[in-house]
Amino acid sequence: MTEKYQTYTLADFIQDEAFIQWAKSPNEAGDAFWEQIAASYPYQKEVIAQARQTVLNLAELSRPAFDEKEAGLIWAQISGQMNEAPVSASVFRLGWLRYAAAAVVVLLTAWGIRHWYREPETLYAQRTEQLENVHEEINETGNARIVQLPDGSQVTLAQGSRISFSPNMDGSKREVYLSGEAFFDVKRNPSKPFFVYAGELTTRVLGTSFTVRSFEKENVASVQVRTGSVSVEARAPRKTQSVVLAPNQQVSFFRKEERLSMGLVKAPQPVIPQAELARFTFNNAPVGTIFDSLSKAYGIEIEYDKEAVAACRLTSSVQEESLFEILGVICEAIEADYQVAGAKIRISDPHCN
Amino acid sequence: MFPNHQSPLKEANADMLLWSAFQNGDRKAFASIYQKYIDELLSYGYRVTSDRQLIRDSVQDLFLHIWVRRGNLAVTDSIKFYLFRSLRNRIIRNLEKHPERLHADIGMVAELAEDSNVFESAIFGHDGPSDSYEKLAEAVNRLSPRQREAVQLRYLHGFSLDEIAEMMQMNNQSVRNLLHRAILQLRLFFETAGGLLVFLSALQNFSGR
Repeated sequence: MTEKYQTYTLADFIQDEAFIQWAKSPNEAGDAFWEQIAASYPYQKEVIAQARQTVLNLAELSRPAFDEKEAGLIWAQISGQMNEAPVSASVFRLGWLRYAAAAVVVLLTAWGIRHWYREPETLYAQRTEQLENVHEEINETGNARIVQLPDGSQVTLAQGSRISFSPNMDGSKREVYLSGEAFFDVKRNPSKPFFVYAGELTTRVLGTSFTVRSFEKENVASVQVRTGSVSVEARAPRKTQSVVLAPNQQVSFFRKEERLSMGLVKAPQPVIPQAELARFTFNNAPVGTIFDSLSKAYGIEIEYDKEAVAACRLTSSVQEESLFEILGVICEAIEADYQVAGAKIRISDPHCN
Repeated sequence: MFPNHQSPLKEANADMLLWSAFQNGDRKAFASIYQKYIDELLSYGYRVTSDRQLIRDSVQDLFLHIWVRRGNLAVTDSIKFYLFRSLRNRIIRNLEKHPERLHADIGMVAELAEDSNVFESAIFGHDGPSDSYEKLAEAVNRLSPRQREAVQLRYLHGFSLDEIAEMMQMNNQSVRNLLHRAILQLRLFFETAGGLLVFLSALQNFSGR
């Protein structure tokens, strides 16, 4: 079988199936085999070495140059559309697949995990790389930094965050790309909606103020609304979800679970001027009325049982306490508890005489 | 850098497991398949057409298609071959839909370069690159589009003659001839100047057979 190799030229070697395989992926058996040939026909030793190098050179030289970013861009398109595509029923329901699946889990760990956890990191890069004319601000200082946008809106960029936008914002939309955390005070312009793209979250507003937090390494991304109303869409591989947020509401997006969860911001701010809130004085007022006033002042729904609180009256005024401090004081007085449930506050039944 | 062929059997088994998981709707398996083969598919796509947008669209169509149709796809022991063949067909189909894009592309182009005097000009050009690797690079660039496609499938992607034949819709012997002619054209650039004479004399036997 090996006699043919004694008259092989370099051109013959590089057309030989077994030789190509070995040159491309050497292994012990191959090494032994070709060393044996070289030992039998010493004049072929140099030819074999050159042929091997030639196979490798041909592989390298026949590879067209291509843009390495392309793979990520195409995947972003594919995964975006996978959810819309109708799913056909699988016909493979074989018992051995259970074992296969276990093996696959092991095989996939490296590729799979690398892929799924890398994707959010590159979303910002993928999007901004595609933009032709883009201005980027990076905050590497230890403090928040204020960035003025071309449309008059103002962004407070948290440390370790970056933001990209077109220098003139002259399209039909105002679009901003964020990686990290920023507070947006958006100048109202109903004819030009304002979009913030941050990881899976797209936030759309007309004119309002809100905070977006989407650090690539964190599992939870969030949007918190200060004023106005904000619509948020979370586009993840398995599903796309959206919510509309009112002031003091926030939405959290759990990346791994692809779950959206509504809640309240940690420190709700009044939606009426602070001075007006400071004038709130309750003199032996029914507690229900106090809850209703607070609800209006903060734009947050406060749930309570009307009959249960009917007997409760309270005298109180608001100085500089936060909403939760005020609620704490009231609940202590009426022997009740408050609880944040989603985007609402729920008051347990009080014990008033 | 590319999946190796060290043990074709193991590779085939791994592919079958991956493929079954994907057919059962496992997104991670699907992502793994993409991740594993996309670089090679893109470099092959760029060989088939220079139209970047068309490659992008074709790759996207291909993966969405197999995702949607996953339940109805055949079991395969070579995902790579399946993907390469499907991508090529898809690119050709898309090219046919856009005739204005055809001119620059392979497979559609008459094999003008194949019998031309590229070979002579490569030998007698005196002011070409001196390094043998660069000379080989130049010679590869002078191959006809179909020759380059076959060389790439053979040496970069490591497909067998049969697989290349099926992909390029030729018979096995035609692929063999195509590659053989390509190698003949390249032969002067395999070696450094020092080894050239020895090599040339050896080649005379070779060509005379």
